[in-house]
Amino acid sequence: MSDGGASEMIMLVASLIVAGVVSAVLIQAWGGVSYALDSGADQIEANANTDATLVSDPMNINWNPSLNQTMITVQNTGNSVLNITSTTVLLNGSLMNVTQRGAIPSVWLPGTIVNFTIQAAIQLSTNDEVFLNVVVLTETLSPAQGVNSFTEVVRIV
Amino acid sequence: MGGSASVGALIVGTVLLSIFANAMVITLENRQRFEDIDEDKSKDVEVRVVNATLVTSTLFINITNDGSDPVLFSDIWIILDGGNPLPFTDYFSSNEYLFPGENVMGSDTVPGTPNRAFVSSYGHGSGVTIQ
Repeated sequence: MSDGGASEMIMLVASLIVAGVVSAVLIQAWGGVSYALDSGADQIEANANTDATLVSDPMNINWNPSLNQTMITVQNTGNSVLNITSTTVLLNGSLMNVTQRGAIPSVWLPGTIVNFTIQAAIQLSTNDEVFLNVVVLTETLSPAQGVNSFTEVVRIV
Repeated sequence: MGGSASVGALIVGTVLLSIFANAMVITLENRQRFEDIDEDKSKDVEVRVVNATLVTSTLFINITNDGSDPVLFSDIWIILDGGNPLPFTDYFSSNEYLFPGENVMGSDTVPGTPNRAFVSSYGHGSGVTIQ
């Protein structure tokens, strides 16, 4: 009887251990799937709220050949606050040095514009029609940093 | 033996049910989030410059909104000959919003004799030669 009781107890403990291990594996696996779903949705939501467009006249981009620079204006047309210093600009495929003209605004709120000076050692001539790529990032990093980019053809004058 | 297996199966089954319930909650939450994103469409603003006329040093600009959403005049930007954007409130300050289909004439003193007026708002731009 006592042998049978001990045997039952061993089987119960073994069963609990196996069930615990299986449960732990299942919960851990689901945790990974759940995190991936949440972070994916966070990123999609952040990107959907991030948008920017060019305000400058694309037909009249005044290029200063002696300083190798021009000025553009970008409007925050999304619902998120954008990070001014994280703005990336490519002109004719070349990565430009981007600086804000003036100190205002210090916070790039939705609807507002920011003036940038973009500069790089590239050769552009009057009437060149080149691609302008602008990438903006949101100020907020958590739960995800939103990103948006747009491309416009601009004429150098 | 049978009792032990039942207890183990009960534990694993409960965990599976919990995971299934959690999956349903996450799925429903994400569905709601995507519905909210879908409903939160960007503004349908299509501000167009109808004409621009320079009389002595005063520039008259006629704009209209071909979109379906109203837009603040302070969110409409005027660029002359590729210069710095200036808000349309510099030209017009009687109202705050340009409504769909509304036509508004604004005016302001400008330096020199600009040739081209460009209006931009929420990604939609339009330009004309100044008469």
